[in-house]
Amino acid sequence: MALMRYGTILAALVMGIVAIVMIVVAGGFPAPSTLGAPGPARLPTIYATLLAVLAGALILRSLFGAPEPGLSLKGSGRAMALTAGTAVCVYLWSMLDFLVLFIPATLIGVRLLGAGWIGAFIAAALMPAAVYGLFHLLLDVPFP
Amino acid sequence: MQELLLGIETVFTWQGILAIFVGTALGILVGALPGLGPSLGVALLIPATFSLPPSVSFNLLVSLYIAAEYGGSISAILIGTPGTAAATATVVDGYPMNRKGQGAMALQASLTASTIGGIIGAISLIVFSQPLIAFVLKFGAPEYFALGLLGLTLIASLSGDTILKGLIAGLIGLLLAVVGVDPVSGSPRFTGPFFELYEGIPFLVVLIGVFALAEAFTLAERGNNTSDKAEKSMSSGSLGIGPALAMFPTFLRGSVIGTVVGAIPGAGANIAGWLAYVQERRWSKEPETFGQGQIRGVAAPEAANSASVGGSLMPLLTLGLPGSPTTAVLIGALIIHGLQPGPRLFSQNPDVVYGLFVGMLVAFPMLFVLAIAAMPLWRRVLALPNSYLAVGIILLSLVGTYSFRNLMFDVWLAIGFGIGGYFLKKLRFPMAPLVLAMVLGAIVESNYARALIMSQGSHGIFFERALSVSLIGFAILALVWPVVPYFMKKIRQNRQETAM
Amino acid sequence: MKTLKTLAAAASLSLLAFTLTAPVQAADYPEKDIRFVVWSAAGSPLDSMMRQLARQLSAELGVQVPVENRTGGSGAVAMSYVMTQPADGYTVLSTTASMTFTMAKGQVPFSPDNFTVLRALQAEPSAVAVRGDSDFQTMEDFVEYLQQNPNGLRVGGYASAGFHQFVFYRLQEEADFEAAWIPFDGGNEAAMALLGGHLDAAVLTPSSALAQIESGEFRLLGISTDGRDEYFPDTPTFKEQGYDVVESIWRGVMVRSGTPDEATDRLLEAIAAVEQTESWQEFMRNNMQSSLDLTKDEMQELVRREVESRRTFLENSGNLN
Repeated sequence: MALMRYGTILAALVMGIVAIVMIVVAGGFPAPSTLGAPGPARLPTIYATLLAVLAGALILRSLFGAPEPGLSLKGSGRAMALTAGTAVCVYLWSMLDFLVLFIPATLIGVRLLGAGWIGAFIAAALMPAAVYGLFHLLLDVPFP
Repeated sequence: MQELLLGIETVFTWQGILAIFVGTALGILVGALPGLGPSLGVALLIPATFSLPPSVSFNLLVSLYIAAEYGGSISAILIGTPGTAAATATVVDGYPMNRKGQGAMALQASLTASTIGGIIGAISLIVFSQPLIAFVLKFGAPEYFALGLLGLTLIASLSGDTILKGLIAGLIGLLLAVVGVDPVSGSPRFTGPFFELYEGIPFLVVLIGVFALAEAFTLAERGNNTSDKAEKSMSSGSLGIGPALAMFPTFLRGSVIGTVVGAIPGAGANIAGWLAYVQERRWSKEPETFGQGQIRGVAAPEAANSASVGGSLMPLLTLGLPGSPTTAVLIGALIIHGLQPGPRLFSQNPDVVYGLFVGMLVAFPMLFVLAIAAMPLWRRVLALPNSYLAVGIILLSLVGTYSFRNLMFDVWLAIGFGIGGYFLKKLRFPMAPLVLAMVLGAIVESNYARALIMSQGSHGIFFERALSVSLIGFAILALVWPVVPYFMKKIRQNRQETAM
Repeated sequence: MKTLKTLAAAASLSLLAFTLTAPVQAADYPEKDIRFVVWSAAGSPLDSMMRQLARQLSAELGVQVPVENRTGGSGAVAMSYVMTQPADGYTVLSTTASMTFTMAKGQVPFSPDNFTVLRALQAEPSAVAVRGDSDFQTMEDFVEYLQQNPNGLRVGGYASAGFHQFVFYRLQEEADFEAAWIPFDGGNEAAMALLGGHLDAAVLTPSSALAQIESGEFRLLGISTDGRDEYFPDTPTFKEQGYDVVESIWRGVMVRSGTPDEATDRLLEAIAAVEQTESWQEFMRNNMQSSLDLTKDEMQELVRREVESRRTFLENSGNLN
């Protein structure tokens, strides 16, 4: 329960700071160039102000309002690992051939998430090949 | 009648039927693959139509368009990723149905809705084009702004049990929409050093991030959980004829919204789907079930986005002007074939126009048959354990995002949105308001600016015409309506107290 | 991770060195596929021109000419992509007059020096359109009204700080009147707004509202061609009405500067052959396109001139900050 509360407050704080930064940045936008036009800064400033206010309200509600359902961290290690793995794959994609990269990546990914070896090998053989065939061969997408 | 006979003659040749078959099959594929939408599919297919007669090639392209609008719902339901932007509203209930083991039923509902909605849209195209376009032309900048405002009020009803978090998600969506060059002055805003962001943050990248990638990361948490597998084995359920018939009012409402909104240039299938979804929730006696896997929440947006095909062809046929990216590509195709889009098409190339009418009426049943034939394949996907599903979603997301602009930058952006979306979802921020606000943000801002330039800065312009006033009125009503029962109860209680 | 980055950096460096030092064998150009990079989306007018050209050029040169769309950053995404490719004539980039606006704005890190524009294959004018029931019959009526009522008409068209606004700005400069510009996200949206009575005049590419012009729902007051336009011969030019505004939006192809002459000459020769064919001319007629017909050197000159004139426009209209 406490986790949900702290998480929400942290998220609200981040949003509030981003909103304030956006307001400051928008303050540096040029004035309207056309007669009557609202100018580049008007709507972003309004939206960001509202966001900052609501983020503040959310912090207050998390502190003093009714508690929200709890937040479970079960399995988030796996999620983090998958996220990191995805980022590494994207980084490598510019250098390696699609199939060379994604066949082993799929194998590792599927294994990591708890599939058996046989299933993982089948998935690694089929899934990247199917994506490659559909996008690159059939629809002519120029891969990096 | 004479003309319809001409249309039938054009379509019912082996070439004509084959064209619709091929177009439909390719359309389902292009629609289901994230990143590729109807406009790209049509554009890629144009060179293949050079040697065909214009009427046949036009039917080929339009049936691809039709099927792609349906195809988007397949990935929306199977992997929680809208295959096309227009299927975004379908995710909100389609994917939860899948998680509850009702994936097959959701797929059937979406197919039935798409077929019926599409046919209603096609008939409207034949019958109502003229009056509807006359109505659409009344939309000036103030009306577009008011329409966007009306759409934004829907956020409250999409927020589930946490209105405050829903509103915050909506504001994040609006702020995402202002990134890029300002519509009036052309000066870049919040783009940093990245000129990749000048045209704004691509909507599709955000969609894939906050829906697909965030979902894959969430699936990874659960691993190959056994309780999940038990649910999955039940996904053999299917939608009977009776329940399908009972949903007819839903199909009809969705179709009407889809046709009208589809005909409004710049609004399109995506907004049509959202409006239909929220209207359906409002009509429902059990609105709290929406977002938890309510079948009508799948049927309404799917009927709407398919009906929008007929609507979006109205400006093309009556004015010769495109109302959406896909119809712009279609106009290009007509020109390549030496045809002049617009009202003169009716007199100069009646075979193309009436062939199109008949072709659309053939394409939707064709879509139904083909999609039914593909069902066993989707059932396979439904039965996949989480580990395969998560990795498969990531693969499709990365490649789909890349292929949208052939740009690695977008892939990194999508991963960023995936991580952000994952955390926000964990903290129970609803994602639907975020994407809806992002769609509407662009319409709201550019038309707000346009209206103010027209009025030289006076906000009075929004209250000058009946149409914009009534749209703004609806928006206010939509905001106030949910709280009316609460106040009614209060008043009644007060009366009882004073009576005592 | 660190070693990987070093490796990658080393690899890209050696690649760069290779492209810089490798002697470019262009005598036998082309000896492999030529890639077309298009900076607008598939199905757009620029894309359909490039695909038509790719098909015909492929037949002419006997190699494959695949087309890739790389959109974003007003063309900057495609430009920076092409800059990473060797200047050997095997990567050809689409280009339009809109490039000169982007370069004049200074928002992209490229200048005319980075590219050699080979040829503008298509050109289209801009025109001032009013509704058929409007009181304005000529440009003079229109200009006089705006001179007496500054900002008294709602005028708009596709894009802000783009070609059509530039033409309108040039008219204002020539005729000395004042009017705000209402930007739209597409020429089609401006045409609809004019049709629905939300605009008093639209500045647009006439072929984009052909149905309305032919039916008399729209009347063109003037057009930005030098002489009468081949597709709209009944429309008087701005020039003949006393406003010296001759502008066109062109579409063509360019390569990285420094591409060997053997390659560019061969490409230009092949393009000239394509332009002679009946199928190309039919394509041009169907799309109502005219030819600019400038040599390579005249093109470079035009691009530089346009960047200059557009910078003045952007400064004066308050769009350059």
